[in-house]
Amino acid sequence: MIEVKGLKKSFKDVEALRGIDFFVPRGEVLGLLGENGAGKTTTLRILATMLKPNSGTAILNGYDILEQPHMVRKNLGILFGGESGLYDRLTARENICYYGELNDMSKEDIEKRIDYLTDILEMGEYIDRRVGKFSKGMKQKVSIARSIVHNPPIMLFDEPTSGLDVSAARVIHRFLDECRQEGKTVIFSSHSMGEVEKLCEKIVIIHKGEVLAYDSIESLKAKHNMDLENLFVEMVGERGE
Amino acid sequence: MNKRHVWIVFKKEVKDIFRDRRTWIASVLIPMLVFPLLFFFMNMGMKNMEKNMEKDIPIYIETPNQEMDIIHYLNNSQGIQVVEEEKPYESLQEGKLKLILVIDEDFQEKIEKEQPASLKIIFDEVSNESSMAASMIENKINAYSEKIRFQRLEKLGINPEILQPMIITREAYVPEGEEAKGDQGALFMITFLLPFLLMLYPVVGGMPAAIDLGSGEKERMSLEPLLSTGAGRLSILTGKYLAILLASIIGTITSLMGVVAASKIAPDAIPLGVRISPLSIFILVATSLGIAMILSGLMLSISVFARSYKEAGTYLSPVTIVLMVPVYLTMFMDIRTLSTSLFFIPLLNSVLVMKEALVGIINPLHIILTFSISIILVVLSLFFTRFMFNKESVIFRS
Repeated sequence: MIEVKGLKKSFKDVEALRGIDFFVPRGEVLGLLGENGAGKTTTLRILATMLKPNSGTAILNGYDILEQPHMVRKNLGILFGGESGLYDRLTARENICYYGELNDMSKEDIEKRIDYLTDILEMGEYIDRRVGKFSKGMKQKVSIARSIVHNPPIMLFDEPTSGLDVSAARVIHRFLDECRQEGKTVIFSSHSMGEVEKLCEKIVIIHKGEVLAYDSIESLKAKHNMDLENLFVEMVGERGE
Repeated sequence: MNKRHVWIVFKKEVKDIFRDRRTWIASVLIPMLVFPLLFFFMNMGMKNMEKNMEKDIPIYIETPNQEMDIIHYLNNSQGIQVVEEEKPYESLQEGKLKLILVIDEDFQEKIEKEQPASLKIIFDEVSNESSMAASMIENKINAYSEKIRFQRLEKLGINPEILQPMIITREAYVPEGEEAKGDQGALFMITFLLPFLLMLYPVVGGMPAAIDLGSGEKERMSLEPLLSTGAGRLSILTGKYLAILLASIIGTITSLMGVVAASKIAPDAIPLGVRISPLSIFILVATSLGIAMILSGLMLSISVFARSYKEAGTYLSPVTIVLMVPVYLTMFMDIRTLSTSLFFIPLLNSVLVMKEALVGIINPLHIILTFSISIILVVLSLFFTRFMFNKESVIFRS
């Protein structure tokens, strides 16, 4: 589970987060919606202990991000969109293995896990090739494998499908679905309403560092009597004006 | 800091940077080849010039009176060819003539009257061969002048030795139990070249690695996934630092191998016949390791600060020029009379201690000061790198 309590974060004079609260129970997929600069990535970076909040905290699987950042990191995997962040001169296997080692897995466990991931992500043809010449889709598969090599109970997705073609985006969707089936707790940040509606149970809409809405998609739609996209535009538009 | 994580990061970075062609070029190929190639071509040029000088040097004698003893003397001298030219000054500029000797009409008459007779050597100042020919002709004319002086003294019944009251010989002082350092030219060359290399090559060798491991992580967007692993930042940083240090050390070692190879290719241009004691070698190695450690930290912090490869390259390139300053500053300093205050200046002190070690001066105060300041600098550079790596505004600077 993930419990976010009163997160505030400023960069010089800019207030990126003005007190964010939400809760994601184990096995649930939460959609994080917001415009560019709303605070989605800052929230995820704080949860991944890359940034420190000015106030507030978060508990991930029982570990506090401020007090046990090392344990928090061991319990989560993070997947970014856009550039894959892989090492071009290493093979796919070496890229995945590096992250397994840094997450304190034994050599045997890493090898078993890589075999398993190679199988389910269909990477057998290129697992021992250097990733420099891979297609975007192939790279994204390696990124997925790298983020879950240590089988973390919590997954953070930061706009993972941005810049991907339909088939590569489908791989991500399938992977997220598997995470849900495995009982992982997931936060999925995206611009795409359709994607969020398809994959998430609950959503948090963030605007200018504040939570505008936090509920299940169905109840929000019923309460406002409109679809998710119009709901989002109305909420953000109201605040933005 | 987790030693296992440090080792994992170090191992991966070494594998990654040595699969990069740029590392091989900067850390191995350039340092190893630059000196042998440079001195090979220099040697070839010198040999070519010497070969040309071994042939008869074409000179033109400008005088209204061709019947002079000096002209006969020069005509009969080996290595000179007196030629006729219609336009001698044009030929001099074209390189066909190496010099023009202008002899006054009354030259012979003045010699006979035992008066000073003058002549002029006109050479091409932009031609090395012309300058060398001018020196050679000057020596021949001096020899002719000496011959006339002897004849005049003999005519007067004076022993020529009376005009040489002193004979001066130069000898370097070598204390008892010590060996001479070797050829003076070689000593000057090595006391300049070695600190130059040990200063420059940690940067040349380590720079591609530093750029890749710092700003490269940002540019390829791999820094955030890396920071979200179970490894702490200090462990990640230390692993990266050690990988850059290794690349710097390899760059330095290969450059030294290049110098040794160059000395074999061109022993005249780069004479390494200098004796260095084991203690001096130890001081040299320790000092250069200190330099590599300071510079690796500095390069990593600059690279971590930069947003991209390009920005890191822009910041790091001037470092090589800045590092040359202490090397050139010490070029004309007298190694025996160095002020202790100079040993408080970082990097300059390292160059001076290396120079002292090379000539066999072991001054404990200078060594302690230099090493203490280097250790402080290494620690500061590591703290600074750690500070940069922990600073959110630097890590997420984009």
